[in-house]
Amino acid sequence: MSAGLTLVFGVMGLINLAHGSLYMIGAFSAAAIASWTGSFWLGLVASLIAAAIAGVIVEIVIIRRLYKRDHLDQVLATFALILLFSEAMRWIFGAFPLFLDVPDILSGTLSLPLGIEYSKYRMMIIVVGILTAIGLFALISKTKLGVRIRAGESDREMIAALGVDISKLYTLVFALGAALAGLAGAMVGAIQSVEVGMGEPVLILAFVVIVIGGIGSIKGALVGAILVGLTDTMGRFLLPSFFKIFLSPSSATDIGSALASMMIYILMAAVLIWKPSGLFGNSAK
Amino acid sequence: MVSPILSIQKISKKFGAVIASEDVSINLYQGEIHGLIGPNGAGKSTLIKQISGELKQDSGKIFLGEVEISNHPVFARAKMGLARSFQVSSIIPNFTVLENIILAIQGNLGQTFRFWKPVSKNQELIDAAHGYLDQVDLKMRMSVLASELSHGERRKLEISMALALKPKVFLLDEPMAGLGAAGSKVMTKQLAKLKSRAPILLIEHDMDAIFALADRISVLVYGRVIASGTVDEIRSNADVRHAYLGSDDL
Amino acid sequence: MIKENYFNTICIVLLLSVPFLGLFLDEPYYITLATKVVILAIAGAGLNLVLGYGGFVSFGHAAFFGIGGYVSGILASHALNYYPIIEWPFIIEGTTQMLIILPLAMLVSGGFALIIGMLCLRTSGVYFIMITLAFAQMVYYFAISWPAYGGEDGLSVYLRNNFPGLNTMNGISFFSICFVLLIIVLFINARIVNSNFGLALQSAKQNPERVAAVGIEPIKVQLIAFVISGAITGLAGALYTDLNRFVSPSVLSWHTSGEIMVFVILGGTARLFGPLVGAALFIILEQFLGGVTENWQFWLGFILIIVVLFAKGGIIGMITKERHNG
Repeated sequence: MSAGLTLVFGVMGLINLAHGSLYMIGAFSAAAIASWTGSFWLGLVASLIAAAIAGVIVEIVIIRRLYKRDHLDQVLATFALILLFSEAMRWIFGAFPLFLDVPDILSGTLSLPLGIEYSKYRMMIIVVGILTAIGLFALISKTKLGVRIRAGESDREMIAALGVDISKLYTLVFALGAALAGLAGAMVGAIQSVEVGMGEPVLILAFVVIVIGGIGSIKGALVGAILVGLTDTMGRFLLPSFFKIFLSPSSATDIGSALASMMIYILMAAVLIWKPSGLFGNSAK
Repeated sequence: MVSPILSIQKISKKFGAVIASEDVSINLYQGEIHGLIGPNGAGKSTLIKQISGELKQDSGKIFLGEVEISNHPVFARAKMGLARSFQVSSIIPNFTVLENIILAIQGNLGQTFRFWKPVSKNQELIDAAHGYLDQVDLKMRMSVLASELSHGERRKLEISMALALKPKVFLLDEPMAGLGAAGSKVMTKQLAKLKSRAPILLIEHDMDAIFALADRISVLVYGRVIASGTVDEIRSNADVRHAYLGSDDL
Repeated sequence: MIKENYFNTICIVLLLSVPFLGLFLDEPYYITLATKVVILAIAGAGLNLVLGYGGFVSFGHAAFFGIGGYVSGILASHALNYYPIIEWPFIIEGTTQMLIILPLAMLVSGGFALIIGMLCLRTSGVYFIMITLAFAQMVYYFAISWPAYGGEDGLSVYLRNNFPGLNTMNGISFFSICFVLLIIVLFINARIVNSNFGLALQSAKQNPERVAAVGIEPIKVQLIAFVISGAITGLAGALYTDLNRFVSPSVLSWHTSGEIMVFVILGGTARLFGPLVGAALFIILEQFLGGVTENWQFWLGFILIIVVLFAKGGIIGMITKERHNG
């Protein structure tokens, strides 16, 4: 999620609040196709395609006009898009959540060293995450497209002047970001229910991640994602225990979990105060 | 020995491996115009930014009169009397000329934190503004939006705003830029008048103007002052000729 | 194109007609609606100061709305339940006096705005948007997980707060209080915008470099605007709790922040009556479109996109003569 978001912002300077909606679209497509065809894998493919197509359509119709506008306009227009997509989904699929089943190959747990039993499906998610990270690094640093993307990040006008077809590049980047979001949505769809509004909490997290990592930096998105994930999970686990040391158990749980849910935002605030452009960001943006 | 109004002492700044300023020292005395020239890329803009406070020097000190301002933020230096004009006219586009000047006056008087009285009814500010506009001949355009001013008029507006700061020093970054022959003549006369108010550190590419106006000149090349002296001294300096090989007629 | 002042007067007349119509037709619901519009307009007016005139996009104003709302809710519920808020070092009891609650709500939300502003204003652009969002989220999650005041279920206050001489449970009386407050807020906004401070604030929006170059510290100006803005939005939050006799963490969600922004934009940023027009439009859409289709938010989104892409000045921008400031 974060990689897609940071790509779009880094290359096109566009804040896209509707990124969460693309995640949702991916999840819904996967669930729908999976239940229709019975195959989880087809569902995944469907999610990539559906999200990418949605991305392309949205980009051509609306997003294009927003590149030159200021951030406020982008925030508002994409906020409006969230409303549009959410209601559209509600209209197509109804108000009840859909379910996506974990495929049989991946159900059950894996025995890891140290006697830990870890869900196979979640393992797959981690693997896909790592593969995506590697894939993106390869794309950005080794391919021609990657070079154009990096050039676009540092100087948009220049690459247009050099003859690179900017609008196609932008559409492509946007579609790529959308596909990533759709994939994320589809994968999560099997462990949580697929419903309208599922994208927004993740969107906010993704924004926190890319702000911490530095907007525009894929490396930052990866580091940020790891930091956020760790902080959130450790926080929920450690904080209540920490407070139990000197407070009564019920207060400890209360304060601990209250603080835990705020942890990632506290982390983001701290990072921004120390480095106003994020860990790997360049302050030109 | 008369003490300088503005004293820049051994200012240095690097951007990675690029040396923007190296051990630059300049003293500006009351009543003089000190020209700063140098080929493109010499680091003149960077130096101005360090003096105004937009950039922080790596080492060295800056004094305004007796006070060290090396670590003061931009607005504090402006408040103390450092008036800067920008290479690319920096004005408030959606406000009128009058409102632009009032902003400068209010900044100088420290009256920004007044929340009640409408600016348009503040006769004191308006009268003062008229005065400053008169001095640059911009009064008849006072109700025009700043964004609609011609290039030359924007330059005048900037000078007027600088005056409104009751400056101890003027820091003028290429005020002639973009002005035609007629405009340059007018600006030259304007600057000559300004000299009596406060000393000027004048960056310019227009050599005619510099030689006409400046009392002393410093030449900046690759971040270093390679020569500093009177107009005649600089004119006959071999190093300076060398630095300007072919690019400008001395 | 009509003059803005005429338009503003028409707005007031239209607004006032609704509750009276409600009285006349014996439909108290209209009065509640009108009150809601007024309260949301106050919230929008607060945001307009920083968004419209100041030019910085705060995505976290729901925090101030919610903080004001909770101050009101907490004080009132303690008073109604007869139990003090703190017992040590000295007893602080709740209260249901509006004249105490409202200023206190403003003070607390303004105080938070001061802290949040000091931390956020060092950043700019999208980072500012995100960090304001982050702080709002912090407050949101805190409210959800703090069980003492209802957590996710919210806090009910079964009586309206007291205002000397009026029966606040009466719709028209409560409306009148809110309306008067709206007029006061708009009046104060107008004075601020046209003052020396307003000049500096709007200049900082267009060219902060120049503002610093004339000796004014842009961050200080923006911070003060942010605090005032937070206080006004907090006032609205407190009134909202009173209107609904209920407050819950949903007033702190980023959807709420987004909605407040929508009022301001729809009406027209940097326009005095913008928030009022925007809030009215929003409520009208919610009521009428909502009656027609469950998916009314779709159309809201659609209208919003049209406005953003094609009608930048909002409704007021389309109807009245151009004003040059901001």
